[in-house]
Amino acid sequence: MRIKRHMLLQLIICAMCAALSGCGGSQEEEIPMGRYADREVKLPPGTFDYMHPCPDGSYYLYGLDTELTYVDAQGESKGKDRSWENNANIHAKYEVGVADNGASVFAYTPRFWNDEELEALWIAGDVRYLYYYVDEKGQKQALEPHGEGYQKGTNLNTFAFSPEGELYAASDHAVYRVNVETGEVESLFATEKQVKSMVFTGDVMLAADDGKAYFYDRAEGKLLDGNGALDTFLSSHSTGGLVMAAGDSENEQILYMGCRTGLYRYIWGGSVIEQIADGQMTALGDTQRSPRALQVLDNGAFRVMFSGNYMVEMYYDETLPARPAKELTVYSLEENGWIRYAGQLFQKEHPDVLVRYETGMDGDNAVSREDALRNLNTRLLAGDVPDVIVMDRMDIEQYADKGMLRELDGILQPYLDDGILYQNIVEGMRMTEKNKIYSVPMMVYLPLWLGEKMYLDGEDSLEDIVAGMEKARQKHPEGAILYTLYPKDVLLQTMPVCLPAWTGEDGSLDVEKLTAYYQAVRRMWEIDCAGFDDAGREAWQKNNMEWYAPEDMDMADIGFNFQYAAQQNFGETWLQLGFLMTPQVGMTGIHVTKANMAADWQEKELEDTVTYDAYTGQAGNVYWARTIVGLCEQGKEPELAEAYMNLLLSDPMMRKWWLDKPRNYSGLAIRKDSLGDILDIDNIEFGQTMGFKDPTGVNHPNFWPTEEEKQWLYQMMEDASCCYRPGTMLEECAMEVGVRVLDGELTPEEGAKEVERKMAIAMEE
Amino acid sequence: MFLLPGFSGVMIFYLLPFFEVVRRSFLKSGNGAFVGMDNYRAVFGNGAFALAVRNTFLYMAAGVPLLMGISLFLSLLLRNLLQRRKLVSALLLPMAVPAAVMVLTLQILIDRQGVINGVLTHVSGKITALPAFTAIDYLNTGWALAVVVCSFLWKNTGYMVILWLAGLAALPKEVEEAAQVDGANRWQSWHYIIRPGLSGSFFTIGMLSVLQIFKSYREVWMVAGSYPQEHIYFLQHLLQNWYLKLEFDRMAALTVIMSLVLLAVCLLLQKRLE
Repeated sequence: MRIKRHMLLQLIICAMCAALSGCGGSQEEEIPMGRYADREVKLPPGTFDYMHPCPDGSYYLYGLDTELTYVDAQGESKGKDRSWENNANIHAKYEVGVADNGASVFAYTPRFWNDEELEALWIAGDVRYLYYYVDEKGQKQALEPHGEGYQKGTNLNTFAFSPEGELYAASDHAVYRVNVETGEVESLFATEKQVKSMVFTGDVMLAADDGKAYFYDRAEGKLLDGNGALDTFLSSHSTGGLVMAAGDSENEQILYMGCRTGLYRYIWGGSVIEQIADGQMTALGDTQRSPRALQVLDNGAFRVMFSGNYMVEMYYDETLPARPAKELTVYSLEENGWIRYAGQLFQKEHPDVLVRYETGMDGDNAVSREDALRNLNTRLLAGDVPDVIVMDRMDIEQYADKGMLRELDGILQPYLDDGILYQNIVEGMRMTEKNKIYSVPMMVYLPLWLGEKMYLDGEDSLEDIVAGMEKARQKHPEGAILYTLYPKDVLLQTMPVCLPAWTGEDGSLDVEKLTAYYQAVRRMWEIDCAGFDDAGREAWQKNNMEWYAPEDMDMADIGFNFQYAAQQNFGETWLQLGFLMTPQVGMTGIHVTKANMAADWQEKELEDTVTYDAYTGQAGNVYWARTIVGLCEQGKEPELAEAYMNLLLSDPMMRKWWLDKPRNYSGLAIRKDSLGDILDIDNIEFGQTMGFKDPTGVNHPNFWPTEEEKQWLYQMMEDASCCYRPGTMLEECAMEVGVRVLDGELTPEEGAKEVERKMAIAMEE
Repeated sequence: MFLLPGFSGVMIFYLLPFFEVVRRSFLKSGNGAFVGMDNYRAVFGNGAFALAVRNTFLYMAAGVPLLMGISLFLSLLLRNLLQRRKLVSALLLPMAVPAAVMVLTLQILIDRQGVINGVLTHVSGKITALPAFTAIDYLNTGWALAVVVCSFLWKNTGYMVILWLAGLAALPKEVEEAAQVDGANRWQSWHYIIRPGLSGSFFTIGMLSVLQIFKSYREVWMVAGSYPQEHIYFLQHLLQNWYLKLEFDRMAALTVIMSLVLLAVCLLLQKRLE
């Protein structure tokens, strides 16, 4: 007994020692070779979002506004095959289904209605589709669904043709078979949600929604038993899009599924779903694009069509290690499309490296910023340090002070010596105490106002804006002057250009400036409120809630709203404060807004008086640093991190991003040549935001920036020297107190004192 | 051998981490350089630390005696009531209320436009002899500590009443009855029989009350944020904020200091009650 006790004790001690020493892990693990990689497929001219794969490897490309284009198995295309634009009564197309022989069906809304019943529903705000069928010879005919089990006006949202050419369609509660000749609809089975894809293999059709797979035996005309494994998979993998395809004739019992997390294989009736390609290592992981269609090729490769005119071929490469030998970890608090995109480019350039992009607040988990920072700090404390860190909404000084960030002067100097980057913007990030740069913004926003010149003829300071608002109020006694719904909006629109002026070099708070700020914004809010009674303001808030979410709103949304709201509210507001966030769309956006405002105010003959300019606030020459990137001192892959930083700063990265993602609000590139190139991009996509291809046929004027305007923008970039970074303690504190000042709870003086008191504790800490 | 499993748990989950904290308190966070007592000096020289210590002490000085006194008084009242079980259950209700609900209720009560201000304004309006009442922002003025103490009492009194009742139930009734037969009045029964008999409970309840003071930070943080009014800025605020600011070295030093102080308080209380 005594011996046994000793043995037990020794065993426990050994186990503890083994656990603490990490015994059991191998140091040099051999990685097997072979994994799926992808390459971009060059598409014929046009803007395509969808693909219909054919069994012989050919495919049809189409978009809701782009005609059907056939591409053969060798990738050759003869161009457009069908014209869908001939029918003058089409207002907008919504859904399209294509058969292997090129026959197609689409749902649309008309410009004018011939059916009073449907028109009444349409007027009531309920979108009702009409349908067209185009046969393989291009003959069009209206398709009028009818029959038992189909209620008139039910929208058919998903279409699929079986290999035999039968049309199947799905509404949000059922799946139907449709006779394309007669329009007769046969209801097959009910579904819980909208079916999003239908796949055929033999006599069985698989219809899948976001959480359930339905197996329908077409020969027997009955639903087969479901599959729990597939249902579970669908409910957890459908975010961001999921595409399906059956295997070829030899492997028709295999179902392939592609989604953000990767490519999967499933054998019909089985209970196991096997991952064959990792989303992180292929284009499937791109959060900016949704997979739209999947094609299985004979050689074991796959084609994946994505939204945004992008297609890749995924092929098995035996020369690549099954998983990359090295890993570069990139961290940011919030999802950043540009950073994710850079990771994919980097991975393509370095196939032996896996770029692991991690976000602290991924949108689904409701983690607050503070919690995310706490989690990050715990990681850092435990030695789990990322290689690259995006410092947006983080305290850069704090992390640099603690030795977490690597000095970047050495990396940036060649770019500055060659005049590639805007030096003033990079220098704005220099930490005065240490005289070193630890992070660099990849993009910036520039502050702008838009309105009638007569209201703003001063230096564009905060006081000038107040004076301008007073003038505007005299002329327009009713309604809003600024686009503000709540007190917080005034603060959001003005604080970035004032906040940098409130602190001295030693970090002390300038209470006088803060008091002046509160006085000015309070006056602005009072002027804006004076145009409404309580009921009027409530109605104004309610009418604008559609594109406004005050609880979640930060400056990024306000910046966006500057353009969007200006376009939506022209004639209702007389001044807009916001940020220029995107060079091409931004410049043209301003033009269009201006044109729209002028059109709306035509009777007032304002066409030449509506203008825009930079506004200085209290600080002057402010730029809002975006996508601020730093490298971690204790990162495991310092050389890779440096290479990644160089990729971020490269012209192809900055330019390609805009070419691939023209409609984004990342900011203005800090590379001079890239910014110039972007301004010169002649891409029709840039025009879409302004309704350049408006399907209603109402073509808004689409202005491209003139040379003079480009020079104006370059000059603004050259002058920008005062960095605003959101998420500082001072901003949060001033925002919280500012709302109370605007609500009248505190006087501006009391508000400033309150901020000073709170900041005093923070400073003491 | 018999103690080994339990002791291993204590070693792994309590003592080893604490030793690690002690070790880190002598190192600089970031590069891990040995800095001797610098972190302790930095803590003692920190203005926010002085403020937090003062506030935590005031909170404790006001909250602990009040909590112990009120709960003891209530338990003495309830002791001989036949229906006391139902009453005790009602007193426990605040313990079951989720922190978020409690914070919401508190905000409804003490907001500038809240219930308390509303009632006081109404009363002062009705009674012309009273001066006009101006709404008070309780959490952003000198009232803040009083609000926090009140919410602390509301939340913890029921629990402490139960502990006192358990202590009282353990006292032999015969002694008290004999004293009453001998002519002892209520004060004499309390002073000479009940109070000495409850000395063990005094220690336990006292320690638990002190610990509850530290645990009530969550509600304070939820209602007033990381930088509340200066009278309710406690040591936990400082620790939390340092954590966000990566001041791990100072945090470690402060944790060691706090542990030592708590240990000293514990020993002192125990010695006094012995």
